Amino acid sequence: MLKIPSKPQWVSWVGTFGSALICSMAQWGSLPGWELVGVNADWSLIWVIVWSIKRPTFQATSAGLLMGLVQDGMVGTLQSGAFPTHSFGLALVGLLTSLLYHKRLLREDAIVLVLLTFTMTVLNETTLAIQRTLLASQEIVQVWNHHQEVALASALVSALWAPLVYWTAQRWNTFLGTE
Amino acid sequence: MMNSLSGLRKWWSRSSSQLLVVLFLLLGVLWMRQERSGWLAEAFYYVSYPFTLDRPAPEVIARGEKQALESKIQSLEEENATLRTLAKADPNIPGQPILARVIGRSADHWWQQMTLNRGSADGVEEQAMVMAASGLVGQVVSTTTHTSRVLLLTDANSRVGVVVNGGRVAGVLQGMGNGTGVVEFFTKAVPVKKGNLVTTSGLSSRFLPNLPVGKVVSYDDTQPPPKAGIQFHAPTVGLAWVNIYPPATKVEPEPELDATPANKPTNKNAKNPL
Repeated sequence: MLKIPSKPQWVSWVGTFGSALICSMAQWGSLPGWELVGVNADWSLIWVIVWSIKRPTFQATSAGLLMGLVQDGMVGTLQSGAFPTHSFGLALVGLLTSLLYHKRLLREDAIVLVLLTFTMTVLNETTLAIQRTLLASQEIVQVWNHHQEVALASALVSALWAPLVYWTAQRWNTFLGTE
Repeated sequence: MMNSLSGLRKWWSRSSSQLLVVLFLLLGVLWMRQERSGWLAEAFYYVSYPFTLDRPAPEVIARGEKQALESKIQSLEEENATLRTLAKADPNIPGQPILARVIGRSADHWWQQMTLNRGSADGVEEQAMVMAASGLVGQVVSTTTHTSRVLLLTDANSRVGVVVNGGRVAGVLQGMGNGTGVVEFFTKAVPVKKGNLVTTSGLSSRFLPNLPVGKVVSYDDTQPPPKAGIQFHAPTVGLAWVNIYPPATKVEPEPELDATPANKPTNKNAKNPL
């Protein structure tokens, strides 16, 4: 088989930053047909999962933390202080994903990825709901009703789009020669 | 002791570069967050530019304006019938609007926000009022050169002083985070019923008085503060075009009679006459 020569390091960095920024900006985007009952996929979360699959726990958790802070800036969380932050949820997602694959508890295929994304999206939305409950800036019943509405729809639509990001990442790794 | 030290040194030599990279990125991202991801919004402006070359369909504007006019007429009739003495209600908003397209919405499922393709370069200021053709939408909370971010009335953090015109009852409108809102009234039994129109009150410093907001769809006075469920005039889903008006704090209380009609879209470089 033909050995693909590996590319210089900066190409890999460009891919990492480029994809992270594209996934962050996709959070803002609202193309028709990309959503379910008005709920968009959680692209930052999908990115964190795909990044974490084959990476050490430290890198995976850091990536989640950083992507969460970027998302905080994008919704202007600063207007209400540092919380609720997306960093908790995404760091946890990175950590768990990395551990699950590291311990070989999960096989690496698309179906597993879909189920994992579904679960992690619910987990992520739950961390946001818990923070909002603790902050008590709105009624608790209202928070959890909203959580119910959003978590399921978001989990479904994120799980549907996750294989696209995963497949693109695999092609990119093949191009880089790291796979 | 020596063992743990050498272990530490080994660990350091193994992972110091990773730690440094993460620290470096953390600083960058924190800076980005401090700047409210301004340059990301700018980048998004250019990425989404090809999708924003359309203009609003005339019939969409006309339909919205008709709806707004109808609700205005209804509210004026109600006011006229009940309180002839109230003569000051001026539905025109002073200042020239900036027509803007909605290029993005909230970056998570908890905030109710939108991003517009007009920013400080076009004269948009923080706290500017954002109106759809049919009613009030929200307020600008931050701007970049080419974009501005709007906190919608439907956001759970949004609170606006409103009056329900039927009985001129004052209350506070809070978003529910899912596209609807709830008005809490200050007094006990209030004469509010379904279909009553909700407009901004003169007590609100964030918005001008008498801007159309929505209508009452439910009313509940079984618990101490009476509450009314509100449906907003302006749609939050699928909203594509809005007008940005100067902040309420910058508007003189009594506009000149020959002020430009409020609903006329102007080109983006038009200067605010006030």
